[in-house]
Amino acid sequence: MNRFIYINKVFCYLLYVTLFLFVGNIFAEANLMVYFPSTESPKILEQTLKKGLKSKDVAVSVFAKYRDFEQELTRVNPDFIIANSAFSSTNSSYKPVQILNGNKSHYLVLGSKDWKKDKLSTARIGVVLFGDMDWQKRYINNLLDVKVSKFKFVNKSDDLIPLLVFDSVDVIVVGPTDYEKLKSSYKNSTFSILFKSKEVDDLSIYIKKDKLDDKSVSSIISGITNEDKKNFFSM
Amino acid sequence: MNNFQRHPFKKYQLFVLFFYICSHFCIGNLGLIVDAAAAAKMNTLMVTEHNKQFNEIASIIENELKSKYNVEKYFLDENAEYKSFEEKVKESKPAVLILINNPAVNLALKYNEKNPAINGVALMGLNLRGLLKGQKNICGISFDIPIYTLVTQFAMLMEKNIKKVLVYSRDSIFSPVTAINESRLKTSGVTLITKNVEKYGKNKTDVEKFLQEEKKKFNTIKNEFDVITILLDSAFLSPDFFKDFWIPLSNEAQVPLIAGVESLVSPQLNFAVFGITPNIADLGLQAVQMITAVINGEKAEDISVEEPLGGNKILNSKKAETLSLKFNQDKLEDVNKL
Repeated sequence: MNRFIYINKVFCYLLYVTLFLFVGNIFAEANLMVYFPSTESPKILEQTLKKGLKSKDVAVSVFAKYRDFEQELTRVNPDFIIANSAFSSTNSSYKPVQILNGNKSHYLVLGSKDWKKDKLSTARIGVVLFGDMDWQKRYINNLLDVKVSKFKFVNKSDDLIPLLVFDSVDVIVVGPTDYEKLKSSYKNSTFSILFKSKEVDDLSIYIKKDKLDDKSVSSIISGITNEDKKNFFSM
Repeated sequence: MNNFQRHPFKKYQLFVLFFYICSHFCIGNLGLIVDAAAAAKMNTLMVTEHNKQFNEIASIIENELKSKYNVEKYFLDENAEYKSFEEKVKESKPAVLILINNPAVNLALKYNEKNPAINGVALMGLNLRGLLKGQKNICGISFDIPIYTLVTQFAMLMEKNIKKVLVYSRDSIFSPVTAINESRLKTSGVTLITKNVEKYGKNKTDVEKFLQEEKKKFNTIKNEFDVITILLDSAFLSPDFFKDFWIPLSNEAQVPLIAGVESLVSPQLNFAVFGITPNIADLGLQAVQMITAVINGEKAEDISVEEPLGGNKILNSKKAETLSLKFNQDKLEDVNKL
């Protein structure tokens, strides 16, 4: 998936948020936070989204680093969040809206070609931080179906390859889009995909629980045309 | 008929009395319980100086650790004395010392020589690896941006492929640094060539003799190397060498210079074209993980010294224009252009 498509994907979520606002006519003003831990610049993504957003009553902010996102989340308490599936496990105040059933992806485990999967339980794993550290260790272990205790967390995926090169970790875990980006940035580096994790849901929209009840959500979702869904799934 | 039957309300009175005593006991001891919980947390002692950058790092580390550990701060001033530091450590009995910058590291090393050693995590710039050589109880993160990171990040920005990189080094001190970066860059298809400025000896005159020879080759460097990376060696970056060697190199060689410090990339100096400086948030996260590992029983000598990850990229646009460098525009998004 290239960069353009991925930005478009987030942009589509934004349109859904606009639809929520329009069809549901819920808020006079709304806050949307996007947590997008990728190699993309959050500034650029934020500018793109702001330009494309028809409703000027929605304040958009995009974060690539979990700690920045976490801090702002507590401060702003936004109405909508677009984040990866892990967010629902760490925050109970928001409800994921299941309008994109079936949209799944994998994390990829990268390392040197001769590295064997059976050594994984004793490996040191490098991964981008996207939650509380203790929680994320359990989450990654579950995804990889293994019990690893040594983790190195970094703030952005750009820092994962140096972790491998500096021999600070044995393998790294990345999202599929980050893999493409890292491969193009570190053309000559000798890392390869060792295996894939279990499937996880892709990005989701989360709505603050006290803003919408289940009935409202269902009625709004049913108001989204099949054409909209078809366009989205074709991304 | 027993007493309770004669006075049925007494059962109730006893219950109220029991409840009263229990609640008072609990309320009275609530403060003690809270204090005990705080006391149960292990102590960490952060030794630092009043400085904007250090304060930011200290604040990130404190925020991450405070839910699990007591974080006490000890600020060093210009007249930092070993004796008061020693008293503070003995009073605090920390599970780990968090040492920010050279004076703190030096005090901890002295403490460990004279007392049963305490584990420490150090964050400092130049030569942390050298300072901690042979140390069993202190590990750390060096502030210096590795050559590998500088070169690979610069290569990502450039349209042209970076294949061969030159570094001038005082091998008596920096050969371990250049050797490790040479092997790392090799994995990315880049060759690092080190020229030892101490080829004729370590004296200033010996170094100058080598540099005079090298100056004669400035006009041919362009054909041989794509980039020159600068080691942050204060002796070799002294004002004399800077004026006599580095400035002519920058002006005549027509090869981009890259460095891990902002001052050398400033447009006013018009010297290096690209640089990376440590990112405080990234450094904080890295430090917190190291501190937690040490508290959880990992041996400091096994952790050793790590390089900083990440960093803030800086580009000297003026110098880039002078050298007619061509960049991948979409990669310049997160670069601070000066």
